[in-house]
Amino acid sequence: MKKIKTIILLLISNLIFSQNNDKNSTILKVADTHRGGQLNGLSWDLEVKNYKKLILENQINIFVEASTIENNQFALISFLKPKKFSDQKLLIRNNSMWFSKKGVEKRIPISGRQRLTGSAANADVANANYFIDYNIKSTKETVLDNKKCYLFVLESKNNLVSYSTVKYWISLDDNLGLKAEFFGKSDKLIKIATFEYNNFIKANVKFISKITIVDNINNGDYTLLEISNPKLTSFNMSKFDK
Amino acid sequence: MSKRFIIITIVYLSCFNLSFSQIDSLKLDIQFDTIVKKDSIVKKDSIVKKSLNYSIDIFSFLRSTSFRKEKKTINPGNEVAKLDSFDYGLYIRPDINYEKKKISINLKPRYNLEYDQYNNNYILDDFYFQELKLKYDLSNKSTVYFGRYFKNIGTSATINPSNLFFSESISLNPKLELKPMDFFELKYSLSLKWKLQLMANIGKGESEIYEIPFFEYHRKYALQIENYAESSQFSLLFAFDENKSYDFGFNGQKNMNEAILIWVDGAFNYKPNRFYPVQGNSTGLINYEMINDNKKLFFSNIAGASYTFNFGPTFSLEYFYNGRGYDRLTSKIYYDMILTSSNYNFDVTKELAKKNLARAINPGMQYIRKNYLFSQFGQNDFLNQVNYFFRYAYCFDDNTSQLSSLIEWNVINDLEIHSVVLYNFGKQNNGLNKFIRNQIMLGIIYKL
Repeated sequence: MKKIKTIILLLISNLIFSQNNDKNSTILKVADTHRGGQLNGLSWDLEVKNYKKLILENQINIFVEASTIENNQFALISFLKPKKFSDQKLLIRNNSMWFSKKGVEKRIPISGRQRLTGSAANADVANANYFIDYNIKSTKETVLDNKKCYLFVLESKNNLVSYSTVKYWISLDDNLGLKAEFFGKSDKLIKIATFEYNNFIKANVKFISKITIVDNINNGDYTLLEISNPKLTSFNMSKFDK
Repeated sequence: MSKRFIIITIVYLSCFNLSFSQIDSLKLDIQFDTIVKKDSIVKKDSIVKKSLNYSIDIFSFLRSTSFRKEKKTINPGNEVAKLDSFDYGLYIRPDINYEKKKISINLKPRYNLEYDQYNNNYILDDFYFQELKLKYDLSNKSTVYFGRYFKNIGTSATINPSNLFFSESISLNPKLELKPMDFFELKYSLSLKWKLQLMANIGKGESEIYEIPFFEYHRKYALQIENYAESSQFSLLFAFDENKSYDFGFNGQKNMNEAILIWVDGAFNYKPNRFYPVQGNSTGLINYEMINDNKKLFFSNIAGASYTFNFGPTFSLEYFYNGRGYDRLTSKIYYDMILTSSNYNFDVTKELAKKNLARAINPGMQYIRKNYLFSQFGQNDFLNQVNYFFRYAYCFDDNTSQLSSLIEWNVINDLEIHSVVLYNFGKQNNGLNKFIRNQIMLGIIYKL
């Protein structure tokens, strides 16, 4: 009799646990959709302003075409301005990446870290699909700037992503990702991002409009990413072939 | 009794919690579905881009080349390669892209003005299309490509044996474009991960390798199967041409972690185009001949890895096994032929010897021996202004080597100044050091 009771208790707690897991996964997925993840087809313009020691160092304009189908994430990032970058493209298929530019029109495979240097730096933070790249380690309810939030602690699924741990605050009422802290392998806090949502992709569906990424290692270094013209669309499957 | 109460209470609370979670999850699922639901996506026609994009590069350069032209070299008296020791030019390179609904058109006309010191200082002008390409989406899964363009295949940035259409798939000087050929392609996506591609090379286009005294052009057809996985990609290619030559190519890459990338790029070729030296000549007039009679199977492969440092640059190392390259005996015949070619001074024999030397300079292979090591160190956008790459190639078979560099400095956003330097080391008139001693090119590109 005792054994049966224990089994019943275990089953019930397991059920609760899996239900909570499903709920958390869905929250994360919903938060991703508001930042351009988890959607079949979406394009947007991105203006990146990099500041070094609080002084504007460069400004880059990018056109992003992204798609997430069956947990596969694809993105084609075209650099529009300045002209020195205007022929460059970055193709992302899950954790594989290729880079092309005029003269080297062949798409050259690159590593994740290579993507993080130079002109493409920080573009990945804007493009991250947390539901696909990370496992949920823990969640709890908390308050951020007087707003009720879930605090997700996410762990990378593999060693291919740039940050091994992400702390992610998602608003309780509308499931918008408000803030993220990115940690390296040694648990060192590398970057802090805050997100704003003043764009819409459909009536009442908010979409990311601004990301502020503060470098926690180099004081005074930060990046502003402003997103405009988000459009739901559909792509031919060859769009994301190398 | 109390235990039973506790159990009932837990079950009750759990059920309550469960139903609460279910409702919560359901709400979230509805929210998620509302956002991603396919039929709620805006009408397809309204989102199709209609756009015309163009850019023009005005590229001028100065180039100094030191090359072998002494007797008993591959280019005696400079009568074979007819190179200029100093030249300059102006290239106008517009790139035009037009996209409307399912059609995409790329136009890359080229207008080249070059000072030609060898031919009495004429300015050469040349107009051609580097790319004239039409892309049409037949459906969401199938796309047709047609036109004149350079077909890129492969993973290595140094050489691509799996590119079954082009013997020279990478230029040592990335500022000079490789000449295109004519293609028709049909690509079909079997799934998100598997792609099938039929490729037909239907014309020699601008390619100079199919001009006399080099190879005869034959149409070539290929089937490519491509797979994309989580952090890797591979392609298999099968090709045949009208001359009954057959090829099997393969290439692949894998991101091992965020800093390390590995790749392979190889091919088995039956009856490929490559010139090699033999003793005796079909005319009986001279002692050697460079022939293209390769009725056997050759294997070539390049395997490499790269590591990107935290502070920016990437270092890569590659080993290239070139099965089509010459072994020691063939190499000896090759150099004996070069040594004796300038002995032929009568019209007919001189022409035959020059033909041999032209084929010796361009034997249909970028590298003529069997074992090479390549390394590269470089970085894009260093200090927001500079791209730099240093490449070193070493041949294990003849101990010759080559150092090349590319430095691009974006002075302002519209203006690039660059230098391309090439320097060959090792025994004179041998291996990588047999033809060009060194070359320096300084260029300036204005982006309109």
